[in-house]
Order: sequence, then C-alpha cells, then structure tokens
Amino acid sequence: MVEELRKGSEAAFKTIVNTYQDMIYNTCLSIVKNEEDAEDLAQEVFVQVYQSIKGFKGDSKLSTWLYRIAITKSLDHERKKKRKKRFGFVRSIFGEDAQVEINPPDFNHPGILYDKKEKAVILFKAIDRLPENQRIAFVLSKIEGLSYQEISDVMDTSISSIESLLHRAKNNLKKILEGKS
Amino acid sequence: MKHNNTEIEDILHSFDGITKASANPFLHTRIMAKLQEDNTFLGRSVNFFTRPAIALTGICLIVIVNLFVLLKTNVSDQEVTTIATTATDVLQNDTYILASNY
Repeated sequence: MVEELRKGSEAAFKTIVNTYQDMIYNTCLSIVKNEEDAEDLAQEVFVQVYQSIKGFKGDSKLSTWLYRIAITKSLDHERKKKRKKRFGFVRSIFGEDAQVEINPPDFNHPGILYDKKEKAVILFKAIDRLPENQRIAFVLSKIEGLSYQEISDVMDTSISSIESLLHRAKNNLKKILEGKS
Repeated sequence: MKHNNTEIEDILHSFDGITKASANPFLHTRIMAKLQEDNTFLGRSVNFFTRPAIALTGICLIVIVNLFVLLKTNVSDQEVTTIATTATDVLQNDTYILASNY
C-alpha cells in the first residue's frame, strides 16, 4: 500500500485514511482535548503523510510513523496555544481578541464508559500536569491501548524507559490526586 | 485535588473499557479538498514562504539591505558636510576678497 501511495495512488491514500483515521483522531483528541482541533490536526497529519510518503523509509510500521506525526503535531498545537495565552495580555492591549482557550474546563472523551465519565474528567485534568513524555506514554498506554513495545517504537526509546515513564506517571498522578503536588 | 485512596484508584482506572472516538466520516473528502487547496499557485507560494529556512533568510536579507542603506546614507551625509564646508570656505574667501577690495 505504501508503494502504491508513493506512486501517487489516490485509492491507496483513501484506504490509508479509512484504516487509520480513528486511530489518528483519537490520539490527537486525547492530547489536545478539543474535538474541532483534533479534526483539523487529523487532516494535517494525513496531508503530511500524502506529501512526505517518499521520505518514509519503511524502517518502522506505517502506524508507528503515523502516531509520531500525530503526536508531534498535537504537541506543537498545544505549545502554540500556550504561547498565544502567554501573550494574550499584550494582544489585549492592542485590542485583539485575547481569549484563547487552552483546554475546555471539563473534557469528556466520547469513548469513556458512561459511569466513569465524571472520574475521567478528573483524570484528564491530572494528566495535563504531567511532564510531556510521561503524558504521551500514559495516553498511548491507557487510551490507545498500545503495548510497551509499540510505545517504545513510537517514542523511539527502550522498553525499560517506557516502564519507568509509566511508573513515574502513575506515581505523579497519585500525588496530584492526593493534593500533594 | 484531594481524594482518598479508594477514589484515587477509581479515578486511575476510569479509562478502563474506553473505546476509540470516531473521526468525521467525511475526513477523506476534507483532506482531498485541503490537498487541492495547497496545490494551487497561491497555496504553494504561501507554503514556500512560510518555511522556517526561507522566512529566516528573507528576514536576514531585509536586515542586511537595511544596514547597507543606513551605512551608505551616513557616508553620503559626511560627503555633503564636507562639500558644504568647502562651499562655506569659498564664500568666506570671496567675502574676504570683496572686503579687502573695499
């Protein structure tokens, strides 16, 4: 399929989009916590895939490559939003609209079971306070359901590092929820 | 965020049984529209000029041209001053000659 896409086949591209769209959208949504932004990012991910498929060497799985693009774009998007918020005061002086919402106050992931929604909102807020790499490892493990091996491929690190990241993430989350952090 | 241990465990397990959120069914159509938009002359131009390397080179060029013009202007001012001084000297000399003729 990758070979066909390299040749510019639109049918191959459509198959890739249909196969991976939920995976990409879900990953972006779990990081940016906004449905509209996640959809825009999913579009950008596939546009980049179409434009740079020739640069994909095939050393890793296509899904791993897609995850990397989606995570990079989502984190870039978050940084941009934070930067806009930081300069919001300056922008408000010049009369520009400075109300930039980083994350909605209560993010409800549509895939969470109904009886767990309330607690998941608290967990999403706590996850926001984790360091970036712990947050990504936690999201890939708990929301995307990836194995340690798959997470290590996406994050380009060893399995033991992923185990350590997830262990620290859980400890930090406990501290945050206990109110110690 | 103060919770007791049982609550914390419940919160940490609140992602259990999560299903994937579904993307917009028209995502492919939208991506194709975006690709076509990017493929127009204007789209390609915007993409080209917003590349960090190109944008940075452009800014550097503008700064260099500005510095060049600024330095050149300073040199021209000095030349004008020198000429003016010379002209004043000439006038002074003329006045001196006229005064001495009286």
